[in-house]
Amino acid sequence: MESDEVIVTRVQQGDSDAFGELITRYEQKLRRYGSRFLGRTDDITDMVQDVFIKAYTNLQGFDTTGRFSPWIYRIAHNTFVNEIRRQSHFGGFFDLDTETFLPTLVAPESSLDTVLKKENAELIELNLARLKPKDREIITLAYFEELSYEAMSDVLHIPVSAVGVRLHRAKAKLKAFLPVNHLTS
Amino acid sequence: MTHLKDKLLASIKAGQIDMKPKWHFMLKGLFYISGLLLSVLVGMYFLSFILFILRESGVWWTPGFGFAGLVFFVTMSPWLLIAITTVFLATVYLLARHFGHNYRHRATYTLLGVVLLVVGGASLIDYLAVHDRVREITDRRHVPGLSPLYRESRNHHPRDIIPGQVTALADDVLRITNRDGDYTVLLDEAKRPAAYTPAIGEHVMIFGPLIGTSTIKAKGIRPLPSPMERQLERPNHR
Repeated sequence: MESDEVIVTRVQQGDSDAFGELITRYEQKLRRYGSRFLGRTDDITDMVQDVFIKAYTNLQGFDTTGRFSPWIYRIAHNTFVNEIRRQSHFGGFFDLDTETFLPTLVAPESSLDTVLKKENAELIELNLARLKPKDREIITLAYFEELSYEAMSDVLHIPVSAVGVRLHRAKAKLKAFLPVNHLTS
Repeated sequence: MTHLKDKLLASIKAGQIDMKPKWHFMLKGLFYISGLLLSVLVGMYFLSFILFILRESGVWWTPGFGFAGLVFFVTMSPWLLIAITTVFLATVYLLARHFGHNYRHRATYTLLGVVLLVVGGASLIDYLAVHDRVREITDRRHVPGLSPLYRESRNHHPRDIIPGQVTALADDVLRITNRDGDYTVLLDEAKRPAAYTPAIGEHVMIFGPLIGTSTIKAKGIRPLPSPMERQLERPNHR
């Protein structure tokens, strides 16, 4: 199977049909990401369509030596954050994170090490809506989209070490909503 | 799912969605790098200019004269220039933060890198005496933007810092002379570098208020720093 980056190269060279393959690969992922991040499913189609339009428009700016997945997730992140701001005037989404500046004592952990137990997924999904968007997003990217720390750093534009801290905090908040022993830590 | 794909591909083929050309991104990158470089250079230049003014006026050495000297240093620093330099440093930081994959590293590292780069560059400009040369040029002919800046720097001579040559010496009193005239300097409360005793004929810097027209109640004395030597050549202290 061709890699995303090879397909992007084809699109950049004028094969617009190849963009259809990228839509096929990412539509469902972005829908999932958006609905969990935003906590709703209405008008997700419009937003995902907007993400693909922005991706196509800016595709010549993508460096094919990098990875396509974090790049398109970054576009989706910006689109969803704009939607959150538009809907609720939630200006605090990009509040200055201390973990971006200060050293922390929480060791970064591999997302694979901390993947939630499958039997907990439904329970977590139910409680995800009780978290703030920032926490919902990191949990979604780490556990449902299974992005690496580096990829999450690229999507969120925060230091790799801060990804671990943010995830740890979000998990602690989520844990408070769950029955005991239902979340691996 | 197929519906979205078909719809988007149809729009692309109909020319309703266009891809921005490669040169658009190259130009954007070029502007970005130019902005970063320009901000770094201007930041370096202004920071070194601040050092130049502080050293040439003598304000740079006043913190060595105790609390009064420190207060004087703070109040006499060119705050407008410092504010402008800070704006450029912040611009460099913000541009550097979003350059490449810098966001992957802690922001403090970026900040430290920017500060080290700009301070290093400013020190190099200072070491190469660039401002002395530029001022000589602006003295000879008008350079828009620079001439007023360097003219203002000449006027940055606080009254409480007086350079001069020692002509007479007694216990806690000495006389100095410069092109403005002669001064009697009272040294009973003056702070000075460890084991320092002024000598006749030596060039010194006196820090303290002028009482009347020719007596200085010195709060500090030290050998004249070389950047201040130019001040001995012209009258400007009375």
